[in-house]
Amino acid sequence: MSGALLRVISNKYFIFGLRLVLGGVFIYASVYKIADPAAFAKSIYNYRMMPEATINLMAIVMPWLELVCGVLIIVGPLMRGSALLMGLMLLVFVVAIGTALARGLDISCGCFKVGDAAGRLVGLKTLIEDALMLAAVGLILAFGGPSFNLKRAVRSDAARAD
Amino acid sequence: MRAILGSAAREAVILLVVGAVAGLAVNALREDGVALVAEPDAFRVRTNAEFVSTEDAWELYEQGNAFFIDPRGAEAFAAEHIEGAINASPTQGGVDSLAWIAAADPYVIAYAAVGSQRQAGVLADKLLEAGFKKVTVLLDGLEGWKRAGHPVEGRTAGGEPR
Repeated sequence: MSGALLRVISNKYFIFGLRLVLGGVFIYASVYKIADPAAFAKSIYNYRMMPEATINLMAIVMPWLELVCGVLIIVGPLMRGSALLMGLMLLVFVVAIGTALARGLDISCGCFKVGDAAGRLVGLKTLIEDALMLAAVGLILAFGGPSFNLKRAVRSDAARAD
Repeated sequence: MRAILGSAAREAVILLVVGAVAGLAVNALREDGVALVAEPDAFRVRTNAEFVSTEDAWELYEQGNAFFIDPRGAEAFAAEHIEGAINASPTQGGVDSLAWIAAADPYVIAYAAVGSQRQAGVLADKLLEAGFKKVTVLLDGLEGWKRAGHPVEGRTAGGEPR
């Protein structure tokens, strides 16, 4: 990897930008799911991957994990744990969407809106988006530092300039 | 990296507990909370019609006794549908256009893809209201039919729709 690219992807402001984007996406994604867990359960069911008995529990817990991780990856505390958990969730999404595509299912992805006919259908675009977010999680884990926060970074930059 | 992942994993466990507790607590408190374990068939499409399994539908199909009706949009239908199926929207107009098959009194099997099975339920109910007697909904939809290796046709199925 070239030195310039490494400098960019390990830059603390770049990493903070990734955290903002990922956190924003996860918080936004959690809102519809928290508002309507029954519809989200139906979205999960449509993938036909999980035993029916486990679907409601997943629909109850997963949106809250998205919300908590989305907030904490921006704010800072438990940032690495949030990134790891987001990475695991994204991995599940990638596998689910990939297998749905392979099986030719024309279902709503359940990403931002939930229910039978809501939101975007699963497709290559949703798969690529999730894969890109997964890559962003990797960068955050590798270069995010234990508890980077923007205020502290700006302060330290100002101190260095002095 | 191993140390980073180790601390991230510890944080992720904490977050998992926090997310699970928050989700379960809110679900228990809200009026529209869902059961932790879904009832059997809870995700099945709501309809007054009977359901028919893929195997039974195939038997009727082989006997020349089944009439498949696909309520999805014209584009999805043209891309792929059960061999011999006809396309009809789940509206009054769509049902009226099927009056010509009523005289033969066949088993009418409404089906759709996994993510749009609700349309099949709506169509089946409208057919029952219109006086059709032997109306069923294909339980596992188009996906179950394909999974069993039964014939489909259409643009993406390697043939032209009839």
